[in-house]
Amino acid sequence: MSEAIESIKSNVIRGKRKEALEQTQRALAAGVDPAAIMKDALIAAMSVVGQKYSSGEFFLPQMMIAARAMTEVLPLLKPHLVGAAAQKRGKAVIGTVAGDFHDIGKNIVKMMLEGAGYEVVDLGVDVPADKFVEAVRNESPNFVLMSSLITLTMQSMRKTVEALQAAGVRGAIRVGVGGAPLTAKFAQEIGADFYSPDAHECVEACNRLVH
Amino acid sequence: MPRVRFHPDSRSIEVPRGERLLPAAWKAGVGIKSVCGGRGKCGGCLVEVDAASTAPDALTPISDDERTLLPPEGEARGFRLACLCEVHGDVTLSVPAESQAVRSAPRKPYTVTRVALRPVVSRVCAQVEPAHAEPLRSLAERLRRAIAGAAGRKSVELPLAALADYSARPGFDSAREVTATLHQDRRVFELRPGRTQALYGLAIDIGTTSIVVFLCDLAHGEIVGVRTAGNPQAIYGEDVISRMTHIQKDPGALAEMRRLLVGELNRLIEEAADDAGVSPADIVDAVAVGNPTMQHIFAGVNPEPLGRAPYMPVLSEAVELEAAQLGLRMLPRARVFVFPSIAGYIGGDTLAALLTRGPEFYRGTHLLVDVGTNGEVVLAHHGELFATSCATGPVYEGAHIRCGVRATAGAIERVWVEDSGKVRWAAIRENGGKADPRPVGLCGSGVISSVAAFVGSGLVGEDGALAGPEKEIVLVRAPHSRTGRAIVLTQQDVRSVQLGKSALRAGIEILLAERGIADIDRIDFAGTFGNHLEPQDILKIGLVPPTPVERIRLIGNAAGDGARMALFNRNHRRRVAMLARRVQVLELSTRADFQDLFVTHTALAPSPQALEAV
Repeated sequence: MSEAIESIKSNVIRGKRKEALEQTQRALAAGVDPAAIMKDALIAAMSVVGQKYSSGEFFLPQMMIAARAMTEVLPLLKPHLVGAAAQKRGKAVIGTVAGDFHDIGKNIVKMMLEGAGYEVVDLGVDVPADKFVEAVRNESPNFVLMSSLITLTMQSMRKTVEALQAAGVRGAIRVGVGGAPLTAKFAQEIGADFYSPDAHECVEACNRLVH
Repeated sequence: MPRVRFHPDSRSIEVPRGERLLPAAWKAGVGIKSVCGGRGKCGGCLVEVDAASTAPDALTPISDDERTLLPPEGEARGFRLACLCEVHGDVTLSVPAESQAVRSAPRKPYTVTRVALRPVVSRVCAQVEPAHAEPLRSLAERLRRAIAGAAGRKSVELPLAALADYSARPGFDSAREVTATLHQDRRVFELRPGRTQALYGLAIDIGTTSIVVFLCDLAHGEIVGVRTAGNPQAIYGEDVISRMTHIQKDPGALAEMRRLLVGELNRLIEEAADDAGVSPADIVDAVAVGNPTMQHIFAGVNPEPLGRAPYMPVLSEAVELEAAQLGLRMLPRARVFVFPSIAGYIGGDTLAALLTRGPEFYRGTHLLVDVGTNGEVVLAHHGELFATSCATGPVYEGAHIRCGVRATAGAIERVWVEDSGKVRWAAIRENGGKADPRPVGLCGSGVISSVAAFVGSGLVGEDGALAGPEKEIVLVRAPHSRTGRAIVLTQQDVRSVQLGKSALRAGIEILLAERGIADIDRIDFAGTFGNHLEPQDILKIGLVPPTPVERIRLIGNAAGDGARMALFNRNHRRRVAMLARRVQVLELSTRADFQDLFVTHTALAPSPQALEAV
């Protein structure tokens, strides 16, 4: 792997936005393959960040600044990505469920997924079940990802899964849920496909299921 | 039916096959800690099954979920989580010290604020004219005239209910001397023959975790008894959300929670009244404060809408409940004044705390901070009042912390690191009796104190990462702890502190930004937990913005103090209604700047570098 790519990767991990941007611009000018920058710098960096978060070495600020550095570099690469490299790994519709305004966790999952090469449609917070259904119809995603931080709003997840079922679109998608009060058992009970304890695991789960 | 035996309480109960251990314990009257309300998330309800007297299949096998929450070697030692296993045969188990739901007593329950005496209830003795006195008048009329005369008023109201009660008393029509109990000097709500001057009232502070009852002499303006206990609703989970969840699942749970609360209050009232030689019939008034959820449950109103955005209360104005209807041990016709609430998470307890602040609070720039499972912050700035609430999580109460315990005897409350690098600690001492000097775990202030000490000595970085290769810092090694397991602070514990700390700090920052404030004249920390923090530690971990340490004051159970003020002086009930209208509420969850502030202030430093600047 080229030194330039290695350096972009380490700057993204450390959340050095300016450096990561400059080096990406220079690398592109020098003819480094944009697809390689995407895969070996950005996607690889976010994977490292996710692991560091899961292991306790990184916390929210480190994760947030890294994800921000990544999202700033991304638009530089986009116009250069052609053919297979421009292909998204998959598409996800994401939102915090009805009755819940918490969005930090959801935003982190969104950035991590983008960093992993997914297209993400963010429905925001306090998203009612029919909004999820509508988004599935309009966007044809691979995944519907729901976040809830309050025990009481976990029931909104159940309602959303039911609404997806009733609308006849449940079969076309995989449903993932996350948030502090959740458990894998709850995910199973409401008929979701998977539960992720953190953003990193969510990306891993999507990677496993996307094919 | 299988029988479950609990040690060390030596209680037992028969339960239907398939019942889970946790509700079985509650039914048996055994208090087991349950932070998450029995959802298999917190690992707090750890019990030790006695293999010698329990068949291997008496409990359902350990699931993977349960295994991940058990302590190391837990499975081999017979540990189980009470909320996750079902009873299918006779079981004998013991509840280790750190799993016992302790009915904790605040160590410094109150401070005495001088209040001019003007209770809302008064008693007058009146001489009633005999029935044959000319001109002939009905008893009601004679009573009204006599009472009005004795009270120095033109007239008084004598509602039918009070008259009917009185007419049920033997000799009611011949008594020449009566004592009338009046509300606001004009409405008679109780009559009795003879002369009674005793006048007592209750100030009740209903916390999610603990409840406090003050029995006060309203004739002399004195506290004659204080009693405190854990909130018995804890069996439905330790935080308000868990309790709302139970009500969502089972509407009957609301009445049950109310019944439990009133039962425990009655026990405290009886104890205090017995000790002070006060008859419950002479307890004629009460004031209750609590967070909005507690006030809703106490008033018998479904609190569920508080748990969902936009977190609106059902009830926001002050209400008066009749003692008889509540079943509260006092004069049945007496009323209980329940404080108003400002918003979904800013309740009567915050207003009561605010009530205790003198006029200087409203001049200049002052903060009032109440930290518990939820943190409330009120900013007074040149006469304007702003408030917000922050989901700090139960970390300040020692919960969600691996070795977290309530602030009772044996809990480590202060930690410091010597120059040599040796970790030292001090625990809360037992009140008399044979004291076991070994510590049980860390209470909320011990958790904050240890994080502050470890950041100061470099054992923990400002980013919260443990410096060493280990995932935990040992404070007390296994042989020296009462639980037989080491008392540690884990990486995850530090993360929980960071989240709780950051929620509060971000809330404060948003309030300050609202008026572009850089300098705070004073920060008052209320709440029993706030009272045990060291101001230096508060600053070290950046719980509040950098401020000279002498500007931070710990003001104790200000909610209870405010409730007493409204009991002793009726004017404060009007004042609190005015305060409730004056406070402007800022809802954090809808603010665009909250996320960055929250993430930035997870750092354990007085003023971390803002995210945007990175």
